[in-house]
Amino acid sequence: MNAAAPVPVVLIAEPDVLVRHPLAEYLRECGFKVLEAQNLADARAFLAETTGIDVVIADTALPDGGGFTLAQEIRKSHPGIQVILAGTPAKLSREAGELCEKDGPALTKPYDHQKVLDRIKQLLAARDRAKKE
Amino acid sequence: MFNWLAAAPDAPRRRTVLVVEDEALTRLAVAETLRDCGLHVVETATAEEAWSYLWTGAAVDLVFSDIQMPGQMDGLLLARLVRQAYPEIPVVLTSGHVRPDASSGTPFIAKPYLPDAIAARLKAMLDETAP
Repeated sequence: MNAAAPVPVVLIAEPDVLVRHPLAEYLRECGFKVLEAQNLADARAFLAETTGIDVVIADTALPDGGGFTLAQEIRKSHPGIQVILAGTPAKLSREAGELCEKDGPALTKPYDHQKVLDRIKQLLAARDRAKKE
Repeated sequence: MFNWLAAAPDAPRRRTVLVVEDEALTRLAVAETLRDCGLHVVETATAEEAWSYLWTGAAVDLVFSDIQMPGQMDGLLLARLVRQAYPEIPVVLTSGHVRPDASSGTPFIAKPYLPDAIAARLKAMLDETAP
């Protein structure tokens, strides 16, 4: 990561602290700024009040709404933010694939931290390429 | 990239603060300030979530909790449970509306607060109990 470049910001919307915290710490160690949302309301608050969010990782089963809802809202209000949907294989439907067609397939849980990191890097690289074109 | 040295088993463990706050932006401000002080911070949005984290046996050196939060458990109950199950872990409560019973002896910081002031207070408490 270029020291002169702004620190990429990742918002994790994941209800389980035992899943969210290890992933957040891993990404912080990798040089990202990480915002942790436990539910849809938290995620909406961050999106409304925080600038510079680059990527959102959204669980499909948040306590007050689904990650699908969050992803659709982001598509409309923050089209520059990349969304990664995540869930257990049983909960991921074709809808997730279609919704995230632009960003790649949804991630299946449990999280493989390295895969999450790889996906974030791919999305940011693709976004940067698109900006230059 | 991931700092494997920081994760080495013989590396000194950073002191851990469990922050319990349902207001996301407040929680972030406190957590980031504490991280800037070199502390390891675990963020939870409800007392139940904090309790489930503590129950895993994860190392926690201090709990900083709001009192009024959504869910079945509030910060007062969380503080009581921590005192009973983990008496070695200090709890600091905060609220803009409710004060804990003075007889409980639980340290209390009224809202609104400055994250820097919170960090200084919690860091001082942790330094007093440094191993």
